[in-house]
Amino acid sequence: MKRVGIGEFEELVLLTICVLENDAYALDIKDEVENRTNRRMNISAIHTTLYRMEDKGLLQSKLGEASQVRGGKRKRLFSVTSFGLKSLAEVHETRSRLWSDIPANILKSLHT
Amino acid sequence: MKQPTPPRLFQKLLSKMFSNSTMEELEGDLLDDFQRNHVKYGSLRAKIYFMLDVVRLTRLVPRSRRTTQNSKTMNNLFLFNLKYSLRSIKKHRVYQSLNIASLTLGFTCFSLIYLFVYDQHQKDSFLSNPESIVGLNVIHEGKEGIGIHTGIPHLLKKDIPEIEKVSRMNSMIMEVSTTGSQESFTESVLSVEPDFMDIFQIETVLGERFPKEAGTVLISEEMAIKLFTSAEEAMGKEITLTFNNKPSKKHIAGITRNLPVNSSYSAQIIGQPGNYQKHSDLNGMVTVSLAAFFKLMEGTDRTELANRIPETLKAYTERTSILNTEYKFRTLEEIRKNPQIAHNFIQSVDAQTLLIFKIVGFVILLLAIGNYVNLSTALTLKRTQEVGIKHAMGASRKNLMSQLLTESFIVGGISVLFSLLLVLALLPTIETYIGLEIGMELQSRYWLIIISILSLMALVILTSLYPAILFSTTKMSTFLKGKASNSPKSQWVRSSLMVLQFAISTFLIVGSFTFLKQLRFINRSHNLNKLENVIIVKGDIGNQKSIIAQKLNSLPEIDLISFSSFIPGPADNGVRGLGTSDFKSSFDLYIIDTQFLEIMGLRITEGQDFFRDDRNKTHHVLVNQAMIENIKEGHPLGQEYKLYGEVPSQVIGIVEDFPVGSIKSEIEPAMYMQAEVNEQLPNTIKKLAIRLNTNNPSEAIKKIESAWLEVFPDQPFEAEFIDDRIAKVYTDELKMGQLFGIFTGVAILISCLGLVGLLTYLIQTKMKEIGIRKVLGASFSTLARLLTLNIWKVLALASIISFPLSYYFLEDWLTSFVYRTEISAELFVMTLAFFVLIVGITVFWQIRNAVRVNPTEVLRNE
Repeated sequence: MKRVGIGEFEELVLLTICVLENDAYALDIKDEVENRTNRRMNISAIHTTLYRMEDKGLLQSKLGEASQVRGGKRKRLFSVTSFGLKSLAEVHETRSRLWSDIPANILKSLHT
Repeated sequence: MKQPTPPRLFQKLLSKMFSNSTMEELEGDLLDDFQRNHVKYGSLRAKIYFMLDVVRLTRLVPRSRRTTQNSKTMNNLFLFNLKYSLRSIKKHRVYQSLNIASLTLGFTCFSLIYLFVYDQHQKDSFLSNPESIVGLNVIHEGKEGIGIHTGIPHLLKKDIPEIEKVSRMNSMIMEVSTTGSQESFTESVLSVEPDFMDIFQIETVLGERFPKEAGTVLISEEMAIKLFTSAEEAMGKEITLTFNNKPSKKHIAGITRNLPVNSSYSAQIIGQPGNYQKHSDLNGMVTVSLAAFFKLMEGTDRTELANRIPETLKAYTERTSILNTEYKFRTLEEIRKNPQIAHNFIQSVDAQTLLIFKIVGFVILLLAIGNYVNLSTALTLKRTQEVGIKHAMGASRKNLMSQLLTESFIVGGISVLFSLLLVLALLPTIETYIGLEIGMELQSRYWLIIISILSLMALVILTSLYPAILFSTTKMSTFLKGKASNSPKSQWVRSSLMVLQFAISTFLIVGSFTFLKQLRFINRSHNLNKLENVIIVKGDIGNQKSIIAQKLNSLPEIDLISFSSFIPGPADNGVRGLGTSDFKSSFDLYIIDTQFLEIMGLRITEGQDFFRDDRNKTHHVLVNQAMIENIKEGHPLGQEYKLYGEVPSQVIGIVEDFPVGSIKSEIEPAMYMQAEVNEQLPNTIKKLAIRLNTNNPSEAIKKIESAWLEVFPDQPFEAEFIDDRIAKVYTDELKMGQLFGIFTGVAILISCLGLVGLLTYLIQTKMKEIGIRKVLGASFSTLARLLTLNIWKVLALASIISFPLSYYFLEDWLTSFVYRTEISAELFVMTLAFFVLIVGITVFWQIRNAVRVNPTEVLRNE
């Protein structure tokens, strides 16, 4: 299987979609990320990342129901694919293995 | 409360950017975002964010333009393309094999021709400053003669500072053998002066730089290995050089390095300069011409220098034949391109011939490529439904194009591979056939092969772009309806390609037939029929003449015999370079007997033959027609000229020209002296011409041989038929004619392949129509007329274009011959008839197939 590199921001967005229990749409993702990181996000940055990840196969999307709210424009709902989930897990595993291998004397300073 | 709205302009921009795309959610998302920002940060910041977001989103525009719902199977898979292409080639194997055949033929011919042309271009590239190496020629009456008066070169060297080095040169074909050995071979032996080695940049491997001492020669490494196994072995050994049956022994004083393979000249055996001193006086009676080569100072203006020659020579002579002529320095390149001014020392190829071959090469390539485009376009249009389905499955334009290009890559690759193999297989045969070896370093050969493979492949890919674009741009709906084949644009392109092909083929056919006709005409003009039974025996006959004559006359198979010094033909016009101040240039001298003219089939045109009674005088001579032009003043008949003897020679008759030389060159002037009455002359008798009156020449030759060996036991019997001998002169032209014929054949074959392919395609697309017409009761002839109407139009147009053009070019070419044939109208008619026949046969064959099929089968096939 082809390996897909996941960037830091991509990881963040992917994780956010997971937290939102899939079928998330761009604005919800933006709000969630903003709330969790205390950073202001551009909606365009979120969009670009989402589409890029869709092209990579990490995400899949479908169009939601049309509603009166936003001028009849439909929402696109993104969910993580199993490949995306697997890639996330790999990243996570790599990180946690690294964390667990850090000697205790270095971690000490973290707690003080 | 009024709903806040983002800036109108950017809203419009946004909807423009992503309209018609599947990314409609962007607009809504941005709008939502704006509302929220408005609440959070206020109107101004929300507006700024909105604008910035719109600008940032522009980078998503290309993505939205892509057909986002691409099917993964159609998405740029090289292996898939490859597999698919192979299948499709297999499916259309008839067309594709026609394609491959015509491309292979075209590429092979083109590569062969271009190998030779390239080889000619890189000749002598190893020389440093080749421009400075020149030969000096004189121009007499607009005709350029090789070489100059022997006295001139050194006088020029003395007085003109721009001339750095000078060497006179004479080359003679001699029999070479190691002394004492029976085996011998012929090789040209150069007699040159010391500067020659510097002028032609010949290096020494062993021994002397120049054969200074009498009786010594230098030989090349190659020659040393041939004669003595190695260069070291050869040093100081003795070899025997035989010229005119006179052997002379030479010591090897040095070994020269082999010249590079791409040199146009060869110097295998280098001997000492001849004794030119006695003829060097510019005012002397006898004029001997010799080739002379110079090395000029760098940057010398050759023309200006040559114009200064007469002035320089004024100090030494008053002869108008020397002062009033035009001199010309010829560079190696000029000599190489013009056999008329080349000695046998420098290998030359006629520039015009080279040009003709270049054109033919290009034409053949053009034909093959045109054919390819034509056929593959036709093939593409046949596959409309396939393309439609692919489109429907989400294949993009890029996918379709890459699919087609992969196919042509495969077809082109196979053709290039085949033609590479063909070239490699044919090259040795052709090299020996035309007697020109491709002298190229191995490395440059490989480079050439790689470059030509790449460029030919590039060419194939480029030309298949047209069908590929056509293939991919037509709308899906038209494809599915199967209408693309009727697209007028593609038909126009294909028709004009066809016209071009036909026009070129017509030109080639007419051209090659006229060429062959010209050759036949020349053969006829030589009276070779009369000479069919004449054989020539050579040897030192001298005083034994009457003895052998008596023996031979008793043989019943022999009709007539004649003794002479020379026989017209190649390399035997022995005493060239004779001439005195009464003649414009030197002429050939033949010592003949009374039967000579009859045996050679020559008639007296003016005056009369030698007298057979007591009116005959020793000073009576005959001249040929060409001599009339060679006299400075008046008409030669009845005139007296001081030549050799005490008594001036008197011209009593003019003899018909015996045309020898190249088919393009003019007849050399000649003088005929009689042998019988001149005491000095019998020694010069070296040729015996015998006319046979038998159907069994080999039997007669055996008898003559035994008679000859009885009289001359120590001389080998060498006989040949005179027509063979003369034919040798024309072998170059004959071979060129044959090669030209072969290439024409290839060109015609390519056009015919294209024609067959196209007709087949045309008829297959119209199968349904034929079916309907048949059901309605159309006859065979109606169908044939209907199907071929377009082809006839194309053919007519091609004829209109090509006939006048070919007439013009051939007329121009024929004027360069002394004896020339006319372009016949039948030829044009026959060419046209030939094409009509080809079209007829193909159409007949195809229609027969079409007619045989039950109409219901075709009509049901939906």
